[in-house]
Amino acid sequence: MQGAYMGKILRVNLTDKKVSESPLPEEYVRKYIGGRGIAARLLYDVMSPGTDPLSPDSKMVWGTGPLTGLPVQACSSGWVVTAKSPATGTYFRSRCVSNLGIMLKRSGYDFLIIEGKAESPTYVYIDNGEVEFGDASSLWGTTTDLAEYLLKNHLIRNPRVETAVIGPAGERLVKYAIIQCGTRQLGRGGMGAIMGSKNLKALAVYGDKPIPIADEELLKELVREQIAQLSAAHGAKRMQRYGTAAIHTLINQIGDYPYKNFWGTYFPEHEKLDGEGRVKRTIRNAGCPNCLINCWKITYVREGPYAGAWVDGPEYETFCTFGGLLDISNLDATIAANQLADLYGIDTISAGVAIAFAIEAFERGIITTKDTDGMVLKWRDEEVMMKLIKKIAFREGFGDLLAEGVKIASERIGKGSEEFAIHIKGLELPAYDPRPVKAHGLGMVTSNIGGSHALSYGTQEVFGLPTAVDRFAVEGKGKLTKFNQDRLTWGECCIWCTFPTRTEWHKPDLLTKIVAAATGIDFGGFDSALKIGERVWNVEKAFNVREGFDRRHDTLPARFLKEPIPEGPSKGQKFELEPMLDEYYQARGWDVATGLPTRNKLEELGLKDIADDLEKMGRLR
Amino acid sequence: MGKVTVKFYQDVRDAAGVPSVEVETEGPTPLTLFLNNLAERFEKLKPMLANLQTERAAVIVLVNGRAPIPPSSAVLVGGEEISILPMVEGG
Repeated sequence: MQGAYMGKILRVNLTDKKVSESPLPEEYVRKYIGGRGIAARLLYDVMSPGTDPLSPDSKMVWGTGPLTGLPVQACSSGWVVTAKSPATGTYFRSRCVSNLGIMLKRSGYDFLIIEGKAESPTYVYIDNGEVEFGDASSLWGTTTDLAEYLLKNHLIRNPRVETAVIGPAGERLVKYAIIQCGTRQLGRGGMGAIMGSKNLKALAVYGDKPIPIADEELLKELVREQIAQLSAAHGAKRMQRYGTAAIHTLINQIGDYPYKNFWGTYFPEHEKLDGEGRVKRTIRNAGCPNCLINCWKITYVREGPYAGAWVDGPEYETFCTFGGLLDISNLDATIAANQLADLYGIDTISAGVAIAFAIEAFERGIITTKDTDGMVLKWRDEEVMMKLIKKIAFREGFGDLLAEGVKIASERIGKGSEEFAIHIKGLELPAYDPRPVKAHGLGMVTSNIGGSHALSYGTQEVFGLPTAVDRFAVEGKGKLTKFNQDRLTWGECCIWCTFPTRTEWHKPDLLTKIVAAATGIDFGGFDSALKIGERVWNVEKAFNVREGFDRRHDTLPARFLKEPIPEGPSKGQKFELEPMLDEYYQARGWDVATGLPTRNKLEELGLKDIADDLEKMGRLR
Repeated sequence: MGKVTVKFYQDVRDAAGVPSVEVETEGPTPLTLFLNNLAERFEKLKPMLANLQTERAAVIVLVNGRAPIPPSSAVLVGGEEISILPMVEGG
């Protein structure tokens, strides 16, 4: 390999503290590029079907992309972790933007596989290829910020290391525990619980090896064009000012904003959480190295009951899940709740949805103060939100039930609560109602990781970019969803930032040239890129099919299928699941009746070995 | 005769100088004509309202919460609420 890759995979076994290296297979580079693609394939290879995600046999694949760490816009600090999620039982990929990915690569590795279980609390320190196992007993029980501080300054004594740590929630195996990486997170799917199950409190990485570039002069020239394209995009400028929460007003105005546990889609007080209030509280803009967009916002509360609270965020999702979803319009409370969640180590999306579910169950009389440790749960109650965040993270009392996620919580509570437990395959939905944005919704329904917007985003419906599409229309959404999924999957193989890539503010053909200049490998143009995205999507799908998933699981809570939106700009909309699902499976070349892959499709994608695996299991059509 | 309410958001509001405005229309009015007239009234909105629904669009225009596709397909008859928001990304 000429450039962009370090060419090695590191494997660390926590049980016997065995460390090994293997070369990065060139075939995998050609077929899956890197990042999410190779990580998905490696996970498929090393993880046996039916493995308990919280057992020692469970594996985590940490992966960088060819662009990680390179002087390119909108990608350089991106990396992923793939694993089997304890929340969903599916394949999972969680993406982060922090310098840990850069350090991993500069330490000499493109991928890291972690397996086994340490006997006692442990940290792993990778220093330029040398692996050290450290005693993390003194860190166990600490919040994420303290763990990071102690690790860097007292245990490793190298403040330049980049870290990934879990908080009390990860130690307690909360199903949506996060991994905190500096001020950013691997937020979804319970990746922190997997670390906790392995007694792995932290990973620290330092590296200063150079990352090769195949054609440095050509890369510089192409990046100049990339900068010109991004600079001309109006939306990119808005992200500089408002961060990802720039979309808060838009999502509300189109009637897609989850309000009161997705009962409604219009938050009457949305302007209290909107851009300008946040701009006033932003004390520092930040972002990935080399990126001109700088979408991270460090916000600080200077006065009032939450004075002193600060966070890198909140992102749009958290503004909703700790905001309108709970009918809370106090920006300072949202910031403070976000900070608590990060310190304790829980996902702000799943936590907000779990709290909203509990409030609705209480409001309907399905649960009472006998179930909630005496707490009266109601909308607009900031104190309830704060208390429940802590109870969930520490699995205290009623929080222990909510820590399992709304799927399991509703199954245990019963009494019809399953109908308003807002999840897909066990992953709580992010801050979009599927009913008024059909392709966006279908993307979440068919997502290989459950209820996430991150693997497929209906930009055509939400922003009208790159080409506007009627968001209420049903026909054509299966094909559109496939395109959106394949496009973003390819992007995450290279490790492109999702935002400018999905709206095509920087043009796909330019991006393929940049990847070729960096790697020295001609992966082809955008059509080839989409084919690679499709291939990776099918590998992830095959992982799930091995685990028993099929069409029955590509569904939504009854709320979205039965209840029309009661008011606002999307009044009357429901989600027309079946016809869109039929069209989607047809577009994917899968069996429509079962949603299972076909041999023809898998062989067309160069995945004959996977087709053989599935056939042996009777899971191929 | 009908009344159309126009609401401005974020930096579009800064440019307009007001949060909203009500406009009387005389009979059915194409959205594009309506927006041209609006741009005449609010000079700073003029560059923002160019290139709607193209990759160069600076704003998103919603009529009762929906973006007309294409914008020229919409005709206002009165009673509509128009939202003009900056082009954004995020989530």
